[in-house]
Amino acid sequence: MKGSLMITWTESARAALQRHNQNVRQAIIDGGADPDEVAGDLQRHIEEELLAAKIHVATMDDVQRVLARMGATPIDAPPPRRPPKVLLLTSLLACALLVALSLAAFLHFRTSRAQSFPYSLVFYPYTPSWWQFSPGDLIAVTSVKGDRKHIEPGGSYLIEGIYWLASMDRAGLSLSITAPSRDSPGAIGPMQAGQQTEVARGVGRFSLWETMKYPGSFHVSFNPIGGGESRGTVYFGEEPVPAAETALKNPTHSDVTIVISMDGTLTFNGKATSDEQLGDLLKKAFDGSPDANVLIKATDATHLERLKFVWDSCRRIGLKKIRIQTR
Amino acid sequence: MAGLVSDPFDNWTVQVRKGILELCILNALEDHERYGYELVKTLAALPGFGITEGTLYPLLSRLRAQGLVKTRLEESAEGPARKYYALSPAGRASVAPMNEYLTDLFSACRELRQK
Repeated sequence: MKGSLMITWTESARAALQRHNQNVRQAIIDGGADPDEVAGDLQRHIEEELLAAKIHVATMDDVQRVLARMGATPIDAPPPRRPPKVLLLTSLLACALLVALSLAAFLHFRTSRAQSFPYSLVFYPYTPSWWQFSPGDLIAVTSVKGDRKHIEPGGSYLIEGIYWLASMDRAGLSLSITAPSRDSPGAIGPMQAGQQTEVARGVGRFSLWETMKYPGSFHVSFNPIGGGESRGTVYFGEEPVPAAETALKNPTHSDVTIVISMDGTLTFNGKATSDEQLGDLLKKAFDGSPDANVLIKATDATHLERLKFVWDSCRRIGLKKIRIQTR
Repeated sequence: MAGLVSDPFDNWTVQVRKGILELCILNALEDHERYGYELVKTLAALPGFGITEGTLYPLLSRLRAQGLVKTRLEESAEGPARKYYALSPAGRASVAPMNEYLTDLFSACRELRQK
């Protein structure tokens, strides 16, 4: 669904908005107002809020966030009751205790994680397996940390990154190592606890970790819940060209570099460009050359939606070899 | 909606909010015109004053029919036209006495409690 103000609506966002409009439609008609005015007003209001935040893709989370803030308690329902003072004091103390415990647990987690994976490794993201990814899906690895200075058997590694999931409501996200053969020690067996997680449709960050049992190539994949062939995989490693046979050839140069700065502004081969110009520049540079190499440079602080916007701009004109580099 | 009202206090708060909602809308439009969702957002942010579009738009429609509010359609090349609501001359003339009446009512209610 294309919005009216340079906003692209994901399927789930559109569905959430339609559900909401359907829920309130009858009350609006009964009250003598125009439901189309309300629906159009709401869509444009959401788009304006997102644009103000330099977000160009409306997700289900965005819709729910705006609706939650605006659709407080219906006027026909009682407002939340003000608790008695004693109860209020008790609640405040309980909240303070909970916050303190959560903070302590978080700090402990961060400290222990930093202690467990003290080394930040330089890594190369390899070209993903495009034929597997459904439109709108993507996994990007942004950081590799380990308890050793290099990726080697016996070491444990924490992999962090970003995912976009559009093709399924839920999916498994797993970290694995390509085994040289089925006979490799540990090649077949249950996954470790940190090796997999379940993610919902939308965009988010992930952290997975694994102890390397045998030499091979690390990769992160989307897997259908309940089993089946993986639905998209990204490989990465320390070498510019992956050693494993299953990993794909890594482009050693980029025909174009697009940089997303921390404030969301873009440069195309070093020249500042607007969102509107980006599509035209890509088309001029690569029309009919889907195998051209594009490098998108971002930071860990880059808003995910900005990264997704650039990514989608490249995909829209048919580019297949896109790498993301974060710092 | 009757099932949502659990006791006399809740019932009373619902009636109070219903009673002053029209005045809140008129007050919100006193300085400048607004579109419907802008009003929903503004009023929903008031503490203890929940409102949804299912309540607000019909009320705006009623205020317009009563001549207290006027509308203006703003065309846009980027999307559907947006309807802006503003106080009509009759609405502007009504809003001050309505506020005065409510203030007097609150004062009288408080005085009763102090006696």
